[in-house]
Amino acid sequence: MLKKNSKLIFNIFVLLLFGVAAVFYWNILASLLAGIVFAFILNPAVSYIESYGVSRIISIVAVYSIIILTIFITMIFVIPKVITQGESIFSFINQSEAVQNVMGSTPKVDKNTIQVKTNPIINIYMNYDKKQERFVIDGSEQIINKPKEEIIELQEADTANIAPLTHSDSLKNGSLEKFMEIPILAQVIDYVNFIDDKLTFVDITDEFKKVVEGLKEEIVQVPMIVISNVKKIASTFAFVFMIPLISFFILKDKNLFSKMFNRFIPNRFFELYITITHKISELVSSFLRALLIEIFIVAVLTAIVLTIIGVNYSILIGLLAGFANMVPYFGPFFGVVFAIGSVILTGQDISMIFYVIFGMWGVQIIDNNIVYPIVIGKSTNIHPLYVFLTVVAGGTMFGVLGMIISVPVVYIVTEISKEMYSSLKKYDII
Amino acid sequence: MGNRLETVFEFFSMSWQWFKKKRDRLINLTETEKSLLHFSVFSSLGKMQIKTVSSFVYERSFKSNEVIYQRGHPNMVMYFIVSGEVDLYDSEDSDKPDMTISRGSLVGSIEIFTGSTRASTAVAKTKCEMLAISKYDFRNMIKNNPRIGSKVLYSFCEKYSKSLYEKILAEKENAKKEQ
Repeated sequence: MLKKNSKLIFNIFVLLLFGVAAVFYWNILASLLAGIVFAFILNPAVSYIESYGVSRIISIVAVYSIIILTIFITMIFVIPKVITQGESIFSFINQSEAVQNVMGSTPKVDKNTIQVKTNPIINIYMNYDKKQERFVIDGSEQIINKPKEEIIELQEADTANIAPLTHSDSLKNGSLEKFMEIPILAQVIDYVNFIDDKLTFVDITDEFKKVVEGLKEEIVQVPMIVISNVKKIASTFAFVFMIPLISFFILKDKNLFSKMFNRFIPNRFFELYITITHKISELVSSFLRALLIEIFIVAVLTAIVLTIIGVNYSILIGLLAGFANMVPYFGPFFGVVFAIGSVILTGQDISMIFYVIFGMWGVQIIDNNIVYPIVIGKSTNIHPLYVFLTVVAGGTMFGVLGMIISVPVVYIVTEISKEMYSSLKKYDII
Repeated sequence: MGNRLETVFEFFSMSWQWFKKKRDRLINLTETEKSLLHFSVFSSLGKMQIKTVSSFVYERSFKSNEVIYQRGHPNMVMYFIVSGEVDLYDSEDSDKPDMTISRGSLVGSIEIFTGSTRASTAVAKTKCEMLAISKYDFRNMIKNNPRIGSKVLYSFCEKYSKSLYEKILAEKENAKKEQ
């Protein structure tokens, strides 16, 4: 009796300890989970190298080196292209004069906002003319030819330099015209003007201009948001660097952690625990690996097809389509929508849309009939309605990330439940 | 030239063996690792290799009369008896154990290779200390550490060949007696 009571007290103590630990480590829980997922993905590669008689630590270091090398090569060859494509979208919508101009177009803003907007670092960013690759420092377009040397001077020149520029009306109107040169906007404006002519009693054009101005202001906020959230960005970097560190130790001492958990399992459930953990780890790691490979292949294929067709921003769209492909049934449509959006927004030939649809369809045929069966092996067999509901629920709970991740997570949880049920049956527990 | 090379290789391999012996002397083993060395299947391993094997091994203790595993259940784990005695029942309704095994023996090792379900029910006769190794870990260990794997598998072969040979001899003697 005494022994039973003391065991109960000890169990309560252990539970309390777990509770305190959960509260204490709550902030790094996300990094820990990401680290575990990363370790799951890498484990087979580490084991493969280990099977050649190499020690586990050296195998882990080798796998890490391969990953770093791959990232490095990607950074050299692919990332610059992606960045240029992303940047050109940004500068297409919002060239540097437009950025400068919004500051002048908002006379109603209060003093605090002006202080933020006239921050010297932002001024440098805003005064940089991407087209001419030079710094514009005032409204009369006086140009500095040696930008690098003048950066410090620009930093010192705070509101004084920007003052004449903020009240330049000619630049303000010029930027609005450029903004309205975007093909889709131009078409909309034509349509608005047409309605405006017909309905003389309503002044739509002015209202529309106000909306466009508002939109432009939102875009200009982007660099400011980046600067005012330096702390958050730094913590994100810390999060990203913690993941490889955590997964390194999980990979190295995999058996140690498994042994530690094993001590808490009663003898009756010991074999069941081993069966279930093995099946879960095998399922999760193979599924995650397959998903990564599929994303990579679909992204590369889409980028190649779109480049051949001649769609602008093909690599960027390829990457987006690869990630969107994680969602079965609906994911591929996102890729098509991105590509069509690019064709329309950049004013390319409308007939190109058909080529895009056929090209992306081809990618899907390859993915569904060659890549998916080889990489994932068996069909995930989730009903389209279930997928749709999961995507919507994930979207409302966690936004875009939720939409993408919810389906794989739900699939894994369903499969684990199935495995657990069959194992419990085999051991006569249920 | 060939002879010279051979001599050089021999010298290196001898030096490596000498270094391994020296290194093994410096390594301290835990109680679990020491008890692993007492089992015939692991006795041929070096101290470093035993350390690797022990990373896959779980320590379990059973009270007397506690069921270790049941007949017909999937076979996932092989047990090494460190202390105590274990009764094996081939049929569920028999009161008398068909076999009693003790310290230094293995339980559930045959099913690891055959992949079948448990052929008997194992119950702890006394308080037992066991070392358990899962089927998956055992396979992984052999696959990822070929040196350890070859030694362990050779020991298993030796163990089962001996028992098979003894069984054949016993059958022959029985046949002679019958004649």
